[in-house]
Amino acid sequence: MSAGSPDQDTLRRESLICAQCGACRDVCPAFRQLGWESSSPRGRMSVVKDLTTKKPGVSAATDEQVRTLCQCTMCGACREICAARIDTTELWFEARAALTREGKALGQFARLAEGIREAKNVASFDNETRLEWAEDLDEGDILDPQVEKAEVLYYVGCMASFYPRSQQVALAIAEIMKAANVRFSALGGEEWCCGYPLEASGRPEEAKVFQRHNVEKILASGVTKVVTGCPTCFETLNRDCGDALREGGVEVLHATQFILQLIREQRLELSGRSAVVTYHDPCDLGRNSGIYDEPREILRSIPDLTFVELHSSREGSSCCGGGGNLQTVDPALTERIADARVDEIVQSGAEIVVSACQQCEQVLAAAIQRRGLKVQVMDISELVLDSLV
Amino acid sequence: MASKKALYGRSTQPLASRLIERYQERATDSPYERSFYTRDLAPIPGIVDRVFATTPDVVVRPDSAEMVADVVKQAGIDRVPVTTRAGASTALWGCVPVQGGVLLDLSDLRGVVAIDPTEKTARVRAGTVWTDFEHELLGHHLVAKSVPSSAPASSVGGWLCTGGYGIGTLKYGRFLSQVRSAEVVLPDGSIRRLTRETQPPLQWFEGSEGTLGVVTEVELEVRDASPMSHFLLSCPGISAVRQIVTKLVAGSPLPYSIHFDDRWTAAAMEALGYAPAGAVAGSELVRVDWEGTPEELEAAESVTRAAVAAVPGVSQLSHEAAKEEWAERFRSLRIKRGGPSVLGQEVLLPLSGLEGYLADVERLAMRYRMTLMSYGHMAVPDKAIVMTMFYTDETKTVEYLFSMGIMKKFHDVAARRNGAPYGLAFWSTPHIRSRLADPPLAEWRRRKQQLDPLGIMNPGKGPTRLAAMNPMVIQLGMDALAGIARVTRGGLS
Repeated sequence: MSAGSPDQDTLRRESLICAQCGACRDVCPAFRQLGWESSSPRGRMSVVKDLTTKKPGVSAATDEQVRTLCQCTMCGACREICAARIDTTELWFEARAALTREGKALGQFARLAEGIREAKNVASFDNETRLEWAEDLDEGDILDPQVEKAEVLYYVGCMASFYPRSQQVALAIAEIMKAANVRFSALGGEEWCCGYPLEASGRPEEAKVFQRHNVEKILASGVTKVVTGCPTCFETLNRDCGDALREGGVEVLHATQFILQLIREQRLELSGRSAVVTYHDPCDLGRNSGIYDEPREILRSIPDLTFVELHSSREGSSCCGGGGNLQTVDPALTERIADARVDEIVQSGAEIVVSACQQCEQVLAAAIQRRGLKVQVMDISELVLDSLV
Repeated sequence: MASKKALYGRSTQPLASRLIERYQERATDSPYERSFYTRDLAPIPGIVDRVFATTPDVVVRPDSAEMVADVVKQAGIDRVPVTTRAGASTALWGCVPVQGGVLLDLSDLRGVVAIDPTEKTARVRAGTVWTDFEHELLGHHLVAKSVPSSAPASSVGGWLCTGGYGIGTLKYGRFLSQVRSAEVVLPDGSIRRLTRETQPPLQWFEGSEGTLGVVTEVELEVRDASPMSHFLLSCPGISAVRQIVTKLVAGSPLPYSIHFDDRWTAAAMEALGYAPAGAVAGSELVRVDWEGTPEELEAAESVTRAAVAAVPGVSQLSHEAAKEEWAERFRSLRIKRGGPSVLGQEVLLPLSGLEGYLADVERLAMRYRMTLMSYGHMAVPDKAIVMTMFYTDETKTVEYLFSMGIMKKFHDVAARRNGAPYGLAFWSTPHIRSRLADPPLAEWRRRKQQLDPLGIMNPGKGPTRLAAMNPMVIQLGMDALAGIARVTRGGLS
């Protein structure tokens, strides 16, 4: 990043506006685990201020400063509470981009980006195998990209396409659509990563290439709705591709929104299920996209279910630790953050923790397994599928 | 590595090494980590760091009162200063070391120990942030009687030690009046449960700014959660503000909270897109918040309407606008978006001096040809806390240093109206007038001598100001800086 560039101006201006009041500290999942001021959002802001107001600038970032800027899940809690109304999440993205431009990016980010660039997905799998999970469907060809007159395009996302646990979510969403007689298809190998992991690695320009590709393919499919079960893909499709898709007459929905529509239209019939269930708000669906009510309404529409809120929920929900590429940078910190969230789940007395994000589910399930707990982790679509009459 | 000298010329390094060995990941002497503990809200030019030893030699994050006690005891043996901090949400350097030493960060001393819904009391660890505490209380349909205006950032123990006026103290009294007892680590390393009857008594620690010991737990009174109502009033001038406030605090029931913005603050917020719907340009704003039973809220509405009717030119904005302003009550720092930097001073004023103070500030603004913005709230029925501030740019070091001189003028103006700095800590030590100090400085020094004869607790703060902060020198220096600022701003013409 060259001195005086618009991005650096933003970083400089906002870091000066930050009053260092510390309202952001206690809501930050990284700070709550690490405890040092350096790990708090205001600590990160100090680093940004140092690097943008003093010479020689970002190029002089030390390893410790780079680590500080990357120890963040991008959960948005600091943005929500900021007393000076700073869009901190946007700032953390810009700070990582500045590090990349100055050749200071973390090696882990570079390797992650390289894998995505080559494979077009975050798992580094052959992208043509994106729909292999659909072979378990009774009518797998329903997802054939050439299916005519599909009203909905199911944007599967990298997690649900390639990771065995998350593939169950893809299957559940597809089965639910089938049960509701939704005509849907998918992009298969033409679906590329949504670009978020590239943005969070400080490579927004590369992310745009992926996003342009996805927009082109979605528009070419002729659908009017894109449904995804991944909150991060959902947020990215809305934030970065939303204008182009809306201009093309395409609405982007998260699976929770779509499933709720189907329930309200009585296209899904749910049977009773006796269990104590809680819901973990994924940061990208809740705080970063404002969707809190739909998943809760779905849960309330399942007869006999006892729903309990976690100690922190909705806008104040604690992060699971899996966002912002943190797992790539500092897996131990992700585990500590997840453990804290699992403590809340245990406290709630729930037998099942439901979420609507495959990354959250993977991180929470790993933490629960590590501790040998008896709590079941489910995606909300899996629970709905289980409850179908 | 730690290298500075302790109070009596000894090196701090042995203590730092001992603490790191003993407390492992809870202590550090990493220069990188320590650098984050050299500041609070005050944007101070780096040149000041050359005058004072603002970087602690070792930072320790205790998770128990026992650990605090051990660190304090060890520091006493080596005569090393101990500075305590948690939210670090003030701007007076109360929690910034000025002689290096040990920095005790109490942020991990968090959590509610017990809530008694019948007695309506709670015991809470000192480092607990107020909004976290409130979240726990709400689970029992309880709330705090009052909270600081920086509740998302500041800690329960911190508020006791820094004054205790805030949102709700108008109705329920200064925070100390709600505190039943506190667990305190005294400078000799002993852990004591202090009440109003013990020696030393609890009340010594109100506003003691870490100079007498470390508060590690607070037992306080709480109340039932209750419905609220909010009113937002547009006032044509500061006289109308004073009149309406006087009427409201004289009535019964008392409002829970009264906040006011002068016209300059209101204009700055409007320029930033934060003006409440229906706000009248060029007017002052007063927000009145009530809590209580539905009957009390009904009475509150009548009281508010009567007050509005009695003061010419005052009009009521919509309830929605009032509610929105209440929802943003912890975001007064939005005003910084007009900066980038803001310099300001918070003063505690008798209500009788409020109008005069704000009028004097307007005259000051004209003299210095600058915009001075003031906002505040009623601390108790007869006292207001007012923050007066102006925009500046900390990256222009010379200009910034000159404008720091103007801060002294706020003290002068406040003193003329029997006001005093709200908190002494470090930066206000040269500006306190003995007759206005609470507690009197001599009494504070006596307490300090009794409890902390070695002078290890937060040296340079409160009653133990550094030689470099000599009032005469500092005041002359600041007058000179202000004079230059006035000339450079063209204010002499």
